[in-house]
Amino acid sequence: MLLQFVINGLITGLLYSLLAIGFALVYNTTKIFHLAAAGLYVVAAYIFYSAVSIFHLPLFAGALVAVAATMGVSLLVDVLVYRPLSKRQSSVNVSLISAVGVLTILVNLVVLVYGNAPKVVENSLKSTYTFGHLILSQPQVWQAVIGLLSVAAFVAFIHYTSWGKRFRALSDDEVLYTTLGYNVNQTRTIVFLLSGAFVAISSCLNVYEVGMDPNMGMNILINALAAMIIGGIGRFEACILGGLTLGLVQSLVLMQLPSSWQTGVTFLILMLFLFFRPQGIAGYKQRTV
Amino acid sequence: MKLELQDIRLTFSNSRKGDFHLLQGVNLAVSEGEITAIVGGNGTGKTTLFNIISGFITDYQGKVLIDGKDIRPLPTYKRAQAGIGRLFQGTQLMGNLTLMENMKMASVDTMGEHPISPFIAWKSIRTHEYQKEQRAIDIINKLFGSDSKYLSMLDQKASALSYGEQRLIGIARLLMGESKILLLDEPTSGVNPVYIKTIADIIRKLVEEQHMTVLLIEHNMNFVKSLATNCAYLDNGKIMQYGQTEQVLNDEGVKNSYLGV
Repeated sequence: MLLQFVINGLITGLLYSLLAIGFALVYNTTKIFHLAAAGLYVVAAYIFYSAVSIFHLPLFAGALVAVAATMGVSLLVDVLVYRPLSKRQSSVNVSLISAVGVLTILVNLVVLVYGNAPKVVENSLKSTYTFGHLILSQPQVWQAVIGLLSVAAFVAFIHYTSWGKRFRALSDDEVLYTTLGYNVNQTRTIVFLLSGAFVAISSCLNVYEVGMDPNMGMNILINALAAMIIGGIGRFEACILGGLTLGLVQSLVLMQLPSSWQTGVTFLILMLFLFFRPQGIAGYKQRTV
Repeated sequence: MKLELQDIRLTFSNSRKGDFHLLQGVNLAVSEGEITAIVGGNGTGKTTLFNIISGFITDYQGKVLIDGKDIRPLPTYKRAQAGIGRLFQGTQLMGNLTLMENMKMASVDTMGEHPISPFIAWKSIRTHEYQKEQRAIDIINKLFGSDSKYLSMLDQKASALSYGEQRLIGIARLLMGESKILLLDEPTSGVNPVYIKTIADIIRKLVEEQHMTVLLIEHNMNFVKSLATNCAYLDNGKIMQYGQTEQVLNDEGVKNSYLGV
């Protein structure tokens, strides 16, 4: 019983981690509070739904289409909205309001095309796999496998590629970064493409199991934001630790309390971290100079 | 590389008090392999002048010429690639990166730039990275000695260093790049007296061995005297005095208005 809850929690945590990575990529490098990620999450879900349920593409191909399209939309959000504001040296508040605007527009566009009614990608019974006392559904197995692969690829990318090093450098100091001869806009292009990919992967894996509605984005993004803060703001890979911790705790809460307590517990954990360990699990205190 | 500033003017608009003319026609020429210091009171526009040369301020009038070519169309990162290196007053290093990564970041190249290149050219990228690491170790060895603590701190985050130490590594990092012109904004501020001599030696070495052109903002007059060939005194938005360092710093007008003696 306990093992079942632990595994369920870790799998949910992986999905939070993926979305948190998508958010943190933008937030850490540009300092934009990228709430539009919630809109991209919804867009990815509905493109996945269209590809599989309307155009009858195989699941994997449908997911690839959703990921590619979301990467494109993510880049467009930067090029059309964020980048012009950055060029005008707008404040973070202006960027935040513009992100809320983009979120609203994206969600309204989805409602306009697909309506408000919930949708499912495949209306069929999913098979399950039994490992001793542990039961996993087919979507959960996909979530675990693809989630783990994506997270591992991200960690390798951030630590072992020159682009990963550039992302970390840009997140540290944009002025120094450009003074050393690096093109900020070019780096941002890669950042937004990658961010869109992670948001879309998280979305496709989740909605394949639970379906979708146009207003789901913000609820799940709040969990991803909590994961980012719990893991440690400013460190890309910390989102993973935060996501897994949050998923695990939420799942264990379900063992004792009704599911309506999940959100309350999320915020309780978040507040405890903000009070007692604001740098997060993987964060470290920096020498003040 | 030769750096020339021709009639640089910069005005800030203030609707209540009218326009504020910070720079009112700055002219300055710094030849290759020469160290020129800019001195002047606070708020006279010295750092602003550096911001104009670096490309952070673009709404100025006049010309910034590198080897006779106007660099106005170049964005900051292209100016850096063209050979303009800069040391800032405040931040020096990227705190989230290790010391080694900070050193390597200063060596801009296009190797590994294409997102798929790590998969197809991983071997040459690794060799290239190794060469950069060796170069960084050589530089630290040469500047701070083989028993320097920095050699054992290469894998530590730069934020572990004090402000003064970050400044030292920031200056050492200038040796990693391909800069031909260096803009040094108060390189000795916050650095202990022992290291001030090290900084002067590094700058001298850069000029003698690599023929770099150095433009320096500094309030430490002993440092300026020991290092700079020429000196420009900036006041009221203009270069009021220019010439050999001793001559400018001994000028009665400069002594009265800036040095307060």
